[in-house]
This record gives sequence, C-alpha cells and structure tokens, in this order.
Amino acid sequence: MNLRKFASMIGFLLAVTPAFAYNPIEELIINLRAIGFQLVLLWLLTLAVVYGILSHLELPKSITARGVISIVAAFMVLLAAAGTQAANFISNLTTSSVLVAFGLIIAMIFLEITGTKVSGEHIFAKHPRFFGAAILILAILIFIGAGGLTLLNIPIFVLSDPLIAIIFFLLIMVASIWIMVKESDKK
Amino acid sequence: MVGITTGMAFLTGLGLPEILLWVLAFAVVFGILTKLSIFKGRAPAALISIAVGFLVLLAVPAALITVIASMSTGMLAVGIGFLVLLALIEISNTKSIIKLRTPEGEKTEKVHPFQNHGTVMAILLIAITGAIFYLSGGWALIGFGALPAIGAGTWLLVIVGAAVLWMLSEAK
Repeated sequence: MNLRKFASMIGFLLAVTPAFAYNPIEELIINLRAIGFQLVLLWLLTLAVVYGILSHLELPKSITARGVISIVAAFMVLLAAAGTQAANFISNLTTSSVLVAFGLIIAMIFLEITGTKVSGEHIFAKHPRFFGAAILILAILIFIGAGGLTLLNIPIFVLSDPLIAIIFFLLIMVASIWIMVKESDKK
Repeated sequence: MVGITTGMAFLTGLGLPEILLWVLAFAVVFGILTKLSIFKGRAPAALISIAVGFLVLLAVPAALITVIASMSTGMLAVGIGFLVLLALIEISNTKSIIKLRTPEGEKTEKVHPFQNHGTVMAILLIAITGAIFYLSGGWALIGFGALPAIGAGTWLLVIVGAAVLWMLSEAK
C-alpha cells in the first residue's frame, strides 16, 4: 500500500514538473522588477530607517509628527534625481552585505565546531581592534563594489599593475625611512 | 533516490531557492538588527528585514543562490572534515601539554591541541572560510571581478623591497 502511494506520488511529481518548468516565483520577480518594485522598497526602507531612528531618539514627542517626517523623507528620497540609481545601489549593497554576513557566519560555525579559543576567549573578542579594522575595510570595499562612488559622483580608479607597483614602492620607501629615522633617534 | 531527485527538481521548478534566499536575507538582517538593538521595538527591524529580503531577491537571485549553495556545500564538506579530525583526535586521546603558573608553583595540564594553538587554528579557519568565499564566486558577486593581476615586475619589486626591509631590520 505504501509502495503504491509512493509510486503514485512520484508519478504525480513527474507529470506535474513540466507544468511548473517556467518557475512562477522567477516570473514574479521579473514582473516586480519591470513595474519598479525596487522604488517601493526604497520608500519602505527609508520610512522604516527614519521612523526607527526618530523613535529611538524620541525627537519629536508626537508620534504623528514622527510618522509625517518619515513619510516625507521617504518620498523625498524617491523623488530625488538619483532615485532609481539609489534603489539599485541599495539592492547591490544589501546583497553583498548578506553574502558577507553569511561568510562570517560560516567562519563562526567553523570556530565553534573546532572549539577554537585564544586564552579561553573567542578570537574576535581577543583581537577586537584587528577584526574591527578588517570589517571596516570589507564594508568600504562592499560600498565601492556596489557603486557607492558613482552615486556620490566620485571618479572610480582602477588598481592596475603599475599603480600597485608604485603604491608598494612608496610603502617600502616610507618603511625604510621610518626604520632609519628610528635608528638615528636611538643613537 | 529518484523520488527525492524528482521532488527536488519539482520544488526548484516551483521557486523554492528564491523563497529560501528571501528567508535567509530576512533572518540574517533581522537577527543582526535585533542583536544590535538599534531601534526601539521590533517593528522597524522587521520592516527593514522584509524590504532587504525583497531587495536581495530583486538584485541577482540566480547568481546569489548559486554562490550561497556553493558556500553551504563547501561549509558542509569542511565541517565534516573537521568533525572527522576531531573524532580521530578524541579516539587517539591526543593532548597538548601546557605549563601553568600557580601560586603553588608550575603545573602541567593536558588540553585539547586546538586550545593550545588557538590563534593558529583561528587564522587557518578564517583563511579556509575566505577561500570558500572566493572560490564560490562571492568575491566577484560583491563587485570585484578578480584580484588585481600582479605582473612579474611588481613581484620583483616586492622581493627587493622585502629584502631591503629585512636588511635594515637586521642592521638594527
């Protein structure tokens, strides 16, 4: 009986799979993108952020005033000349951030599996400055990668081979001079 | 096996990966916002998480799903590898001996090898995670096509520079 049920379930799945070959969710995403749903999300995001910050600060005592300020701010962002560009930038930024956060979660899982501790403390807690700086650099890279410089009208520079060589050469020069100055100071 | 494969194909056809991506983005953002307690109450955090979930879905869902699936597979493979390693260490009862300074004098204690070499292990694990991230295509997806190609001339400069620095530090 169970085997018959299993066989009929497989048969149903086999029969029905071609009917769903077009992927309704993917179709929905394409349609949402076409009608400009990103702008609605940008409006919603601005509203939530502004309202959340105002509520946290309890800046205008009146809740209605907070709501009105948030709605106006959200519409202002939407009506700005770079509204669509900002929506795309936020979309890219959030995607990258979620991906990096997922990577960090994986690192944490590995550290927890192996029970790695430095002097009984977690490595991130042991070296907060180092990891803080690393995450800051990562955030800046994500910002640049998502097109933040274009949005702020800052010209993009490409790290070419000669440029890396010059930067490295300058670093070596600075390090050498620093060592020599340190040496002469001691004498 | 065929049944499961067909079922998975059916669910993929229905758009399950996109739903999972939305849920993952929502969970990560909501978790972080709740942990940081930036906003009063959970409503703004939930609203931001929902918006971010949809923004992620509207960006590059297919590429992101591939990268996250690849990273999850990498995590599973490495995780199983570490579990096997831990099991072998436990079976063989391998321990590191460390010296502890107590008011009564020096004492020796047997600890897990990973605890004795915590920093090295942590660096290794973070490097493995970075490699999984890069090889899964995460680096390219966050807006960086590839690491800048470094030519032979630059490498030569790096070696010369390192030699100069080494000599200077030796002279000290």
